[in-house]
Amino acid sequence: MPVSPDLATTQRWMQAVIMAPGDEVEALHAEAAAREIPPEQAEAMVLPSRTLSRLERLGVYRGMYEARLRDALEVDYPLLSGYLDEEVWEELTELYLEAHPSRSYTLNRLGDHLPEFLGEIEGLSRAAFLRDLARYELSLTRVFDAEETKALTADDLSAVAPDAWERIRLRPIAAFRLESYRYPVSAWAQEAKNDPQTRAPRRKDSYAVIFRRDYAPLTLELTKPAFRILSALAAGKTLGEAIRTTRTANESLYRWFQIWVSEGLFREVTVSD
Amino acid sequence: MKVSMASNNKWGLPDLGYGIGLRTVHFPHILAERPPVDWFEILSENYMDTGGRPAYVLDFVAERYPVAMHGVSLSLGSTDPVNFAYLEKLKRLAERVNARWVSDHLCWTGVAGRNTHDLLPMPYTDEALRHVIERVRTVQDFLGRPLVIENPSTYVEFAASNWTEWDFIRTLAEEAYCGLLLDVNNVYVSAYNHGFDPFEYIDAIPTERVVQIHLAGHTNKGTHIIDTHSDHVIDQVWELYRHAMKRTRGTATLLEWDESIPDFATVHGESLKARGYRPAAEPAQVLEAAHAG
Repeated sequence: MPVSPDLATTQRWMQAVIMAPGDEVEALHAEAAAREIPPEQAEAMVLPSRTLSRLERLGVYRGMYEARLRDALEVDYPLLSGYLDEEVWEELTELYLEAHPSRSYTLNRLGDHLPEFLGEIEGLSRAAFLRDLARYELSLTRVFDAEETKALTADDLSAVAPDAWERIRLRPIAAFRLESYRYPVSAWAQEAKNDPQTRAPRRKDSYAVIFRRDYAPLTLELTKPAFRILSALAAGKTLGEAIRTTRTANESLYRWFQIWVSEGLFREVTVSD
Repeated sequence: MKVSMASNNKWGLPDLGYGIGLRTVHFPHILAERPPVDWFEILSENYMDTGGRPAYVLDFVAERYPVAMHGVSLSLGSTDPVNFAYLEKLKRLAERVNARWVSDHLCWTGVAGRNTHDLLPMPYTDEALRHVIERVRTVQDFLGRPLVIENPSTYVEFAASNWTEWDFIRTLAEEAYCGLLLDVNNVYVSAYNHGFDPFEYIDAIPTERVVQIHLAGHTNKGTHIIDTHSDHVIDQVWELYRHAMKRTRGTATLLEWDESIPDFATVHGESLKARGYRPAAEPAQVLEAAHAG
């Protein structure tokens, strides 16, 4: 006997069936689906075709849902998904999508919670490294989509009076993210791009700025003092205040600053009173 | 120089000729070669939240080619509230690229705040029809332009449906006063999956509402067909296209290719095959085009 629930119930039921783990029968019995349509009536919601049963037809949507969202995560996390065994990656994404289903019209932000999620999974081998790697890849996607802002050049900075340098504030471009890691993930990532069999690195603190130039996301590895100075500048401190967060030789400071400006990390300079 | 032909839809939206979907893998070719494509269709959501390279390429394209917008997230059939934040971004993007029109699908993508990112099928019931008519009107009021709605590929039919898909779409278009994007590959796919006559479907579509036609390849699994946009257009779909073009007397045509995307020349070449299926222009159209040039 056909079932004719209202449109809202039909949609909640179908979505629950599509998103439920397990096979099609288990999906009909999943709590969210059974709440809308009793499992014994559920099959009658849809018609069979000449070649597929009712459950097989629902299975087409279930399969596409998982594949589409997994593909989207692989686009954002190519190194992470490539590093993990296929089986582990599939299990991980299934759990992730259950915990963090998409709530947005765009797939671009589907993977935003993956780094923290990796930290919550019990028994995941090399979890700290995987989490760092996920954070690194997430930063690359954020930088890729950030607003385009014009970078300051060395000529722009030449207008700053010599006695004002201590008091300047430098605003980073929009496509700019500073990250500190427990593992050397950006160096590892460069190797892994050439050799997917690259083994996970040993633990070693690392620091990087991830930014965009000519629309391409780039990574610049930093020393700890350079990271501190850039962090202070990004937080709105003056150059003098930023430099005082470390004890670094002037030669190094000068060299770093030259690199940062030539890489186009700043968009605005102001002199505080 | 391509001349847009006048077309026969209610809004006088032009027949832009033979376009292709703007895809990332073709960005370098388009930037370097500025190929002679009649027009591009963009996937709206790919450009709504980015200020990076996609936005740069989009501006490059919009300055040089006619652009139409095609969305996958409007979720017209959903019983969730209309997402006005999404609509606001859609409207701004349409203004930015001078979109010739804005289209999306007759489907729902999620409910209860979640999104499956799939084009899920509607039950074709009286309640669903009233619901979608109201939603389309709301969207059109907000965008300040007619919405163009595409028939979906579907893989299930609801037991509760009391309309055929083509009658549902015809009534929707007439009651909501919206345009139609007739995807002839989707008609073929759904006809195969559900066992109806695709020519009967096309004959039931009100031609004066049809603003655009989609062509694409698909994947035949034997037991059913999936609308993958992963291959060349098959002969049976070309014949449906010929039939549709004869009925509409010429409509902007777009080739979709989204999986296993080949080089630009192959995709463009596939779209240009459509020329061979276009009915001969009537004298009035030729004259109009000549004046426009």
